[in-house]
Amino acid sequence: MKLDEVPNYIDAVFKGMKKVVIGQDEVIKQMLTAIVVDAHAILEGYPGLAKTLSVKTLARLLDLRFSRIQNTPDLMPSDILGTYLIEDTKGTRELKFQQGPVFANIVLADEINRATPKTQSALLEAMQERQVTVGKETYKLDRPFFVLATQNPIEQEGTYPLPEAQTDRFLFKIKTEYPSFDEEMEIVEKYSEVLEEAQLKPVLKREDIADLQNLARKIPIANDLKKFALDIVTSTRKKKDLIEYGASPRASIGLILAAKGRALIEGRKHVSREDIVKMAFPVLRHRIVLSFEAERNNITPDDVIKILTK
Amino acid sequence: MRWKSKDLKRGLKNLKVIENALGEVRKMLVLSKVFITMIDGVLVFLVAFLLFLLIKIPWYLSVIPFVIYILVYGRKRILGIRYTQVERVVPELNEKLRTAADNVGKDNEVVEALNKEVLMDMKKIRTSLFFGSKSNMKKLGCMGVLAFMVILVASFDVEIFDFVTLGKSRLDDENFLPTQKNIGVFIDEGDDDIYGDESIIEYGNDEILIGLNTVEGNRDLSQRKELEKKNFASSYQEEKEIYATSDSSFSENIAKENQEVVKKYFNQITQG
Repeated sequence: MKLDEVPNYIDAVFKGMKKVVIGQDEVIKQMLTAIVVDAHAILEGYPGLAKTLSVKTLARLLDLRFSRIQNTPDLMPSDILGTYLIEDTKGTRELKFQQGPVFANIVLADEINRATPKTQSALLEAMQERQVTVGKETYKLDRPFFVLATQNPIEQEGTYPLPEAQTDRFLFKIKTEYPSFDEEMEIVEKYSEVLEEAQLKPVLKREDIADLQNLARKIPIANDLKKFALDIVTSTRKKKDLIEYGASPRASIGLILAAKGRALIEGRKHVSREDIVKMAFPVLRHRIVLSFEAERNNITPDDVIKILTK
Repeated sequence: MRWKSKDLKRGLKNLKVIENALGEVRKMLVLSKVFITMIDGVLVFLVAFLLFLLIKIPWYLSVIPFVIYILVYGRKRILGIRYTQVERVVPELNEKLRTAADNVGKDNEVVEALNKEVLMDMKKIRTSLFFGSKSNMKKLGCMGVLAFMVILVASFDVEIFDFVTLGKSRLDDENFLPTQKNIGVFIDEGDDDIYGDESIIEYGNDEILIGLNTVEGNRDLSQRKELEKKNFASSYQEEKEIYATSDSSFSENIAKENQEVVKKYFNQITQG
């Protein structure tokens, strides 16, 4: 894929997404950015806001192997990673590894906070190392490998919220918001009248995604903008009145990378200040722990990031 | 990654082109800063010139604020040159120009494409955007007005006050001469030591007033004399003991018949 062709491919993905998902433009852009910068993302939002639908639609537009894990409290690590099964071949019995749903290119981990910490850890290890160890064998996961997880912020009973250290494995925490009135009207018209699913063809092949990932890392950034991004991240460690624990250097790398990815998606050949400001929200919102005082005053992580990016 | 010699040559050529273009932009920025500083400097000079004319200070002293302004602000402006100043006047180059400048050494397809874009947009940079701004026009207008005022003030010999004469008259004024108090001499009025400071004992109660006239300070150095040694030895001799013998007042205006009584009375006092 050549640089000039990037906008055409991105446009095609957006058009495909728009056939199924109404509104949620920023969510789609951030999900695509995660793909372009080879990172995992977690989508958080109330039920019925098209989190799962967005991930499924994006997977259909990418010519990649897709799998879905519906997390429940009784889900075991072996249900995700795979297990050894005894196979009877030509009269001999052999242990054969049966791959779990994690052996895919795009893994939708639906309602990840419903799984037990043990199962969550198994998935998060695969995300970090991009390999799975079962027994004495280690299996490399196919590249590209993305985990797009979803979670519901309101139902806390019977859930196991991911600790901060584990959410740090996701580059983005994408928030899905309610659609506008007009968007909701369109959603109602579309889904109350048409029964069959929209026909979608894969737009991006495996090699196209690899090209996009290479190009994203080559996007240049001005020194003052790099400094601006680092100032945002380091200020999370200094603002003690609002933040108890700030973001790590992983967030700095993530923010620069995310800004580059967004610039590529927007069809620019350089990172802009707006890219950094926009990407600061999904990159930082799950990496800062608010102080008691801030929580007492109903201040959200997004409010704090808004202050830091000014 | 294997480089083809053709690609390498093309890459190096592009690198050279963007470097040269950025150099040109920088040169133009320096020139514009020098120009603006000179305009401002001349304005400062004209304001100082006019002011000095009005208060009768030699006009050539107005060069001093001019030189100080040029040195301080010229340096500050040239050191503060940033590509953002170009981006502000050519919005198409916003963030692109400084990105290209900061990534001059890098050579990949994205940077190359950015450099090409920047070179295209650089054509929109006009010298007039930096030199012919509204504020510069206003400054030139102010210069004209100030020059006209200088001519008027000089030809009609207008003055607000004569700074030099005022200085002279104030020095001649006796009230202006320094006293012990206004030159900061310490006078301790509540000292228990009845003899006080030795130097004050020598001069008694006479105050020494010294005034130096700096304005009429022309002295003929050929007329100087050798120093004369003056003896300031004290004529004061300290009494060992203070005592009274008699007073002469008793004999003045006292009736003859009473004089004997008074004399006796005083003798008794002195003895007692």
